[in-house]
Amino acid sequence: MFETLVMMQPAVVKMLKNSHLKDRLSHAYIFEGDSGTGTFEAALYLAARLLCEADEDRPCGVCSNCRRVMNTTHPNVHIIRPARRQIVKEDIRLLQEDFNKTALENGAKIYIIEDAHTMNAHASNALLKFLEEPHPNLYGVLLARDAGALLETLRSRSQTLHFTSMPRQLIEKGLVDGGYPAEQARLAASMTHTLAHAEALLNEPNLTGLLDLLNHLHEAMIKGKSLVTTFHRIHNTAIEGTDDYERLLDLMIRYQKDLIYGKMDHYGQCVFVEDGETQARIVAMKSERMLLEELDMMLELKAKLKHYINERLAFDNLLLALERRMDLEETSGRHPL
Amino acid sequence: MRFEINKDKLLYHLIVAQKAMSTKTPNPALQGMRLDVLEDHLVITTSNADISIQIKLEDQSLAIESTGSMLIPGKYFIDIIRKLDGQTVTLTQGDDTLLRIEADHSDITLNLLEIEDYPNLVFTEKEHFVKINVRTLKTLIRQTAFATSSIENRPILTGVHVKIDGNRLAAVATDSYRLSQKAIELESDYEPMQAIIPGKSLEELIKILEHNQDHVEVHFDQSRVLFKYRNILFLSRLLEGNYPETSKLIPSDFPVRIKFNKESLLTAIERASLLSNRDSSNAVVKLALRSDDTVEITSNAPEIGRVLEEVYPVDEVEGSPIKIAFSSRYFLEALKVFASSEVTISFTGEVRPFIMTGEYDEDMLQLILPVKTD
Repeated sequence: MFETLVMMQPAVVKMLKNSHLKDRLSHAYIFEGDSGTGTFEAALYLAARLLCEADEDRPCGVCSNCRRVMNTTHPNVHIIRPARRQIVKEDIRLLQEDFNKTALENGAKIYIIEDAHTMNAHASNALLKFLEEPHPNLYGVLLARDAGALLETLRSRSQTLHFTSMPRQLIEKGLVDGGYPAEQARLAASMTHTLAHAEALLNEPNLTGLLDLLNHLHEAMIKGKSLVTTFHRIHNTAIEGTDDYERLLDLMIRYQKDLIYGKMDHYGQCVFVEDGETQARIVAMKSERMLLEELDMMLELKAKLKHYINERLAFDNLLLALERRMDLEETSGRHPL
Repeated sequence: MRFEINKDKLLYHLIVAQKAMSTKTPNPALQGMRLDVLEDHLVITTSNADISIQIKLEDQSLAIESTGSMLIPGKYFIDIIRKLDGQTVTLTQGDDTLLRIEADHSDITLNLLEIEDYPNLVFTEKEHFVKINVRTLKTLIRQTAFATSSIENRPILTGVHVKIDGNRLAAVATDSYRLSQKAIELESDYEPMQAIIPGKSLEELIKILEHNQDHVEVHFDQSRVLFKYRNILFLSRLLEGNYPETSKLIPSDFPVRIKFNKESLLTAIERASLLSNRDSSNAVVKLALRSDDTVEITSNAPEIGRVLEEVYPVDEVEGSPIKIAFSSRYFLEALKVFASSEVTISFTGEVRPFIMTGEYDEDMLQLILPVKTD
């Protein structure tokens, strides 16, 4: 139990262990780290430490409490995750309701908020109020990709622990050792933070379709064809669910970064190495400022995708914007000022 | 594990246990019903975290071949037992993961839940417990629990504050706009103790109590309260924190006192609350004592219409003319819990809380805060 976590995040585990031994645990923690860096496992580790019946310096993993913590069925461990992209005030209210009552079982009470950065303003404020009240033997763990996305006041009341990602080269090597083609390994390693996630991405049945779609879009870009028309002509084969929009956008962002590296002649950093020719042509077409602005547009859409928006319309909007910029560029190219 | 039992007997107890079963909990283990088969009886356990029920089932029809414990998906189990034909049902635990249900021509297997995931519920009975008559307890709950807050801004107010001192048990509930308190006399003396029991738990409790002269044992603990009624154990969590001091809220001096016939006042207020531009449960109704000692109940919704009801007090009125406005829902809810046919309303002032008391409702008081109108 927790062997992987101890291997991946030795510093965090040591820190939690010592704080617990010295009885200096904070009542609220922020575990900051990308998905796959073990933040959730560490939260369960903390819960198991607090509830484990055996008197050891680590969760025993065999007592009923430890096992139920691992199965996330322990009544004293309350887990909140965004139901639909956001954590809303109602989620925090239920938490509050639960913890204002005496515990069903003896021992510490722990709440874990997954993707805490998706809390909306109402939820954050409700949680803040909750944190301000003293609750003995109650511990909270907020998991967030970026602690900066949380309210300043929440951060100041919690202790932030940073979870380091696995070095990219290691993931890439692991994938190549696992028999994946080098090109794909490089792409997956650049987009994920753990070997398991990278493998999952590569095993995604839709990945080839999405990469094809990306190729078609770039071809259209070079030939001066409409991106929106191209997208709508072929998107049905690749885009199946709303998640695919996000995946395609991730790929586009990654590709855009390649283009920017290309512009700066840092070809060594590029991920889509096989696509060198197309990349070179796009790089020749656009100025550095334009590439950066386009990246900005894509990142903005990525942030928006976390909220309730119509993914399809938002995507059309992005492609239209990219397309208009191409037109502008052509015109300005033909009539130099 | 294998036993057979009369189907209707089993169903009857399952339905009682179902009251504590959770349908929408994030914890899948709580959607289960725990069944422990012991040497000579069954134990059925359900819980939705807030309340838990444990039933000891002994019956002549029960024939136990072998013992064991399992966690059964509760909703399916009850639905199946309910629909079965025949008198007797045989339950067999195939291996660790399957339950076989046989009755008449049916042979059903159900996938079991992981029993290890089930919470460790402590139904221990205390050496010292409080004994209360079932009917008295039911009335006490009915007269107080409705006044608890349903909004969680102040979680402590979602509970009923129960306090025991000597042979007196006092219960108070308030949502900070109205208050209900009732005291009962116990059959013997007890050590002083107090607890804040969630109103929702008590409302579930009265559903399993029948209306008779039996007794309920109440076992108080630091963190839970256990009610024992016949073969049923009913466990509730408590609310943590200090209950606000409510005695200071109740005025002591009442210059105006009016006694009403409960029914005629009730129907008058009900009619007046029909016309309301807000939803009818939230209507504001005005009460005015005229100088001729008649009481006028009015409500006015400019875009719908207006109501005027005249109500005649049953006794001579004490005090001078007064005008007061209040929420009809609070007023009706309070009025409905009185057993007395005549209810006295005592006023302190137009913007001060007023109270209701009844001759045959000993030690009960309902308090309502008026609404400010222009």
